[in-house]
Parts: sequence; C-alpha cells; structure tokens
Amino acid sequence: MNESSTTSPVKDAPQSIRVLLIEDSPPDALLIRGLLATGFTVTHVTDLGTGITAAHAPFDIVLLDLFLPDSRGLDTFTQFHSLHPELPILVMSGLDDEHFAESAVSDGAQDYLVKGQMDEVLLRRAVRYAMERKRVERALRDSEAFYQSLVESLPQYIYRKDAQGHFTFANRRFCVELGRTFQEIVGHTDYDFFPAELAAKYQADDQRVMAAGKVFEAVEEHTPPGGEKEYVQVVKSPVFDAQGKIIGTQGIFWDVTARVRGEEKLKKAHTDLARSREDLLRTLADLQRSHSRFKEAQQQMVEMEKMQTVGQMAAGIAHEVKNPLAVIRMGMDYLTNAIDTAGNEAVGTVLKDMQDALHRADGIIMGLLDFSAPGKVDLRPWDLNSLLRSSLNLVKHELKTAQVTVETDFCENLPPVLADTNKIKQVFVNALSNAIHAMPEGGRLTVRTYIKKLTPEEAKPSPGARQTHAFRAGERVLVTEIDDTGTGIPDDKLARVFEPFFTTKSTGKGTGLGLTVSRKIVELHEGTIQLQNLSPTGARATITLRTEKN
Amino acid sequence: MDQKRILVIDDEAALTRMIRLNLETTKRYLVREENRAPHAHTTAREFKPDLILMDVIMPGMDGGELASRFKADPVLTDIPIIFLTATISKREAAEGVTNGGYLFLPKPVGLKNLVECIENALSAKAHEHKAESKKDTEPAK
Repeated sequence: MNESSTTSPVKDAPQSIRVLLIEDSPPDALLIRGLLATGFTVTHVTDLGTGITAAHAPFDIVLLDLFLPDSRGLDTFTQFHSLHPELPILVMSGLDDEHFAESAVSDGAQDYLVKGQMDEVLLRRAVRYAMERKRVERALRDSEAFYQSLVESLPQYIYRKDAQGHFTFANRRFCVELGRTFQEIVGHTDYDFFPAELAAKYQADDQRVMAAGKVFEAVEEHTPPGGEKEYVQVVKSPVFDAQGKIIGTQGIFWDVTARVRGEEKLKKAHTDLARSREDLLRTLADLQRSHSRFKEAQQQMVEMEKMQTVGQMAAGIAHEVKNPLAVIRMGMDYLTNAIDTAGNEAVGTVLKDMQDALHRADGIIMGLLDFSAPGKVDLRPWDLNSLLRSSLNLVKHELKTAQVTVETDFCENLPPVLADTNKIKQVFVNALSNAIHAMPEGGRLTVRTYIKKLTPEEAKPSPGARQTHAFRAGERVLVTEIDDTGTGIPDDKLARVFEPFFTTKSTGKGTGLGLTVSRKIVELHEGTIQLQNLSPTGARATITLRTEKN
Repeated sequence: MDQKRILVIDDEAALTRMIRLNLETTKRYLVREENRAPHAHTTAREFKPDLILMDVIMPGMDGGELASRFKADPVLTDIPIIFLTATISKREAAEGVTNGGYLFLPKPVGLKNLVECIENALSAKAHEHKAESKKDTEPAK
C-alpha cells in the first residue's frame, strides 16, 4: 500500500534514510535508486516545483540535479535551499558543469557528486556525510544562537578586544551605549570613542589584566556624551586561545549608578547624622555651660540671701545681746569702784579677766553689726601706702608681742586709691592681725603694694565672687599683698574662710567675722580680696582696689 | 554741790539700776529709773529732770516717739536727751552720731564715757540757756 507499510516488517532494523530524489533523467534516477536499494526510502520527482512541494514531507536528505526542466544551473540549488534551508542537499552534476556544483557547496550545499563517477559505496557515504555535516552545522548554529541570545539578552555591556586593544566584539547594548554600530566599533580602539585620558586608563587596565592573567574588577564612573554621570561595575578578564595563550581581553560591565547613588546618599546621610550628632553634642555642651553658669548664679544668689539672713540675724542678736552686755559693763564699773582690791589681788585679777571677756564679747557684737550694717562707703582719694603705714601702726603692739618683723615693699608714686579710710583700715588691720596670728612663734610679715593692668583673665570675676562691679580688662588697679611666714590655711578650709563664723583660730581667738566683714567692705569698694597659700609656707592676702578714674 | 537730776528710761530694769548705782557713786546726780516707756512722760513731768537718758527700742513706745512728746511739752521741751542704743556701732558713736539733734551712745557704755557725755550735754545746755536768757532780756530793755 504505502511505503511505511512496506518497511514495517523490518521493524528492528535501523530506520531507513528518507531520500527525496529530484532528477529528470530516467536512467540516472534508475541508477541512483538502484544504488540506494537497501536502507534508503527514495521518493522520486522530476522537476524542481514538484520537488519543493514534496520537500514539505519529512526527508532526511535531498539529491538534487542542477539541470531540471523548470530550472537550470546554480539557480536550482539557490531556489530550493532558500525554501528548505533545514534540509541537507547533495548536488549532482555532469562532468562538464562541475563548477556549478562547487559553487552550490560554497553556498551551503553539503557536497556534490559527479554523475557517471558514482558507485554504491561513494553514494551511500556521501549521503551519510552530508546528513552528518548538516547536523553539525545545525548544532553549531543552535549553539551560536544560544550564545548570541545569552550575550545579547543579558542586561550587561560585553565586548572583547585583541592584544592590541582593537575591539573584536561588542554586544548590542554596548553598541547602543557608544552610539555606534557593531561595524563602527570592531577594529577600533578606546581612543576612537573616549577622551584620551580615559582611553589610556582603559588600555592600562587591559595591559594589567593581560600581564597578570587575572580578573580585574572596579567601579568606574563615566559620563556618556550629553548624559549625566553614571557608575559602572567593570569586570575585565583575559581571553585565552586554545593553547592557553593570552590573546586579548574581554570586559563586561553594568550600570550600578542607582547603587552608587544609594551608597552616596547613605554616606551623606551618615555624614549628616555625624554632623547633627556633633551639633547635638555642641548644643549639649552649650546647655551644660549655661547650666553651670546658671548654677553659679544661683549659688551666688543663695549665698547672698544667706548673707542677708545672717546679717539680719546678726543685727537682731547684737541688739539683744547688747542690753545684757550693757548691764554687765555697768555692773563691772560699779564693782570695780565699790570693791577695795588693795588687799586682795585675786579679786582684781578676776575683775580684769571679766573686763577682758566683756571687751571680747563686745568686739564680736561690733563685728556682727558692721557686717549687717547697710553698705555705705565714703570713697575718697587716699595714699594707699600711708593707709597701710597707719594700719601697721595700729598693730605694732601685737607685732612686738608676737616677735614678728615687718618688711614693706611699697611702690612709690602710686596714684591715689579710692577708699573709705576708716573702713579700709579695718580691712588692713584685720589682714595684718590674721597674719600675726598665723605666726605665734614669730616670723616675717611682708606688705607690698604695686599697680598693674588687668589681663582679661584677671578681670573675670572669680567663681562665687559677689562682685557687682567687675573690673575691666586693661583697667589699672592697686594691689596690696600681705604675706606671712606662718603655717598657711588648710586647703579644705581655704574656700570657706570668708563665711561668717568660720574660723581656723582656736576658740576665743577670733570672731569668725573678720574676713566676712573685710570682704563686705572690699566689695563696697568695688574691689576684691583673696587668700592663697604660699610655697613652701605661709599665706598671702591680696586686696585689689580701684584707683581714681582717669 | 547742787545735784543734777537724771531720768533713766529703759525697759531693762537691771540696766537702769546699774546706771543709777554708778551715777550715784559720783555723788553728783540724783537718778530716777523708769522701766515703762508709756509712763515715762508722767514720770518726767513729776521728776523734772535736768537730763534724760533713754533707750531707743522699748515695748509700748519707742524712744523716738517719747522724745518728740517731750519736745512738744513746754515743761520738758528744753531737757537734753541722750539715747543709749544697741543699734549703732562704736565707730558711728565715735563719729558723734546725732539724729534730730540728739546724742547717741552705744551700749554697752562705760561709766567714764557716760559721765563725760552727761557733763558735756549739761554744760552745753547751760551755755545755751545763758545765751537764750540774754536774748530774752535784751529786747525787753
């Protein structure tokens, strides 16, 4: 019935090769069919048109005579091949038109046979080779198409260069990026597309890759013509030939602008964050500074309030104590007159001791009143050195008793000091007395005066000072220093010596008000008084006063 | 010798007593104490002192008010007043603090100082009195 049913008995035999024979010469057709009698299924047509139609059925190979009634020569092959490019074609020619057959092979025919020179072995082998060649060709094309689609469909830019830096390949994306066709790129170098500096860099990179035989990877920035700056991740690697010799480079790169921009943004955010943190820290520091300034002010206010309270209390106490003191004083006077002490020495001593104690108690009360008295000073120009000399004169008895020697180091021709003479003398006498008391075993007292211009540092009010009129930097002030060679003031006490009722002297020796009153008086003079320890021993009282305004 | 009459006004009885005892030892003064300020005016009119020593701060009536009452009373207006006070300092006293023409002495005051002040005030008064009586008589001529 049909050919498939006739071939069905040889089920287990290898499937026969289906041959389409297009041949108009009956003897030739007969010969070929004879040669392919076993293992082949031959379908024979006698003209090209019928052949082209018949080829739509599945065939493994076509045997094509180039000279047919409806087509002659190379054109026969071309026509057929263009319509059935997938079919392997074996061209048959006569001895005298072999050159047509050669042309057909170079245009894609698998092989050619010369009529009259073929035998069974040759024909069968030619058929099988033709089929194999076509299969390989197809596989190659598939493979190429595979790689082609890989290279072209990846979202990467891909190129190759030879060892001299000429482009040998560029994928479509790369061509578009450069704005050139493939033909315009291949055979050219980087210098044809990029600024010289950049091209030199690219070539240097290529050389490095080739020298090291290693992959080079980097993020590079570039600006396409008329575009915005972009970043690309570049991977360059050496290209080897079959012998493993490096014959060029290839590169693949892709746009990482978004990533780099993101990183830049992140970095900027980091920087901004760091900056805000710095700002924050600065603000914090400012805050802490103003806080401590505020605390200082608060402390001063508290101290002032304390002083005021102490002052009011002192005034109250003074008044209350003075009345009983007045009674005692009068009583002492009365008893001193009334009792004859001539025969009784002890009574006289007792009365004298009581007088002294009374005098001391009165002194404390006087101090309290001085301290609490409303501040008013009568400032007039005086000679500072004269004030000190007369103050020293007031303590000369004490100096003698305590065996203290005095050295004066007065700066002559000082401008007059602005002072309330009685009040400032009280300050000087107090400081001198303190110095003498610090040297019960004797010692040396040094009184020094000089004038100086205040530095900005010195003009700053010392912490805790209740100065209402700060000195100005550059202001000329008169300084009095009273140094002793005593034991100094214990460091932990130094900060408290101006507090009322604070004393380092033994009970009965001091009122604890001397320096408190002194400071108050000095402050009324818009001046300062400071105490400090001297090295190796001793202490210094520094009293700074204003001179007449010039 | 004619004893001068001194009125001592202070709410502190011990103090007025001490002042009295001390002043009496001089034999020059006759001293009357008054410890209740509101009664002092009556006492003064009755005692007719040559000089008044008085405290400033007292319960019931203070020294300042009392002094202005004495000034307003024609019988007492010329009597010199010395204030004894706990509210001024020794230095202020040394500077001769006066207020409204009154002399102030700080407590505690010693006898010697007190007597000096009393004598000064009395002699000043006597001086002034002499001058005034002269002035009174002259225009009458």
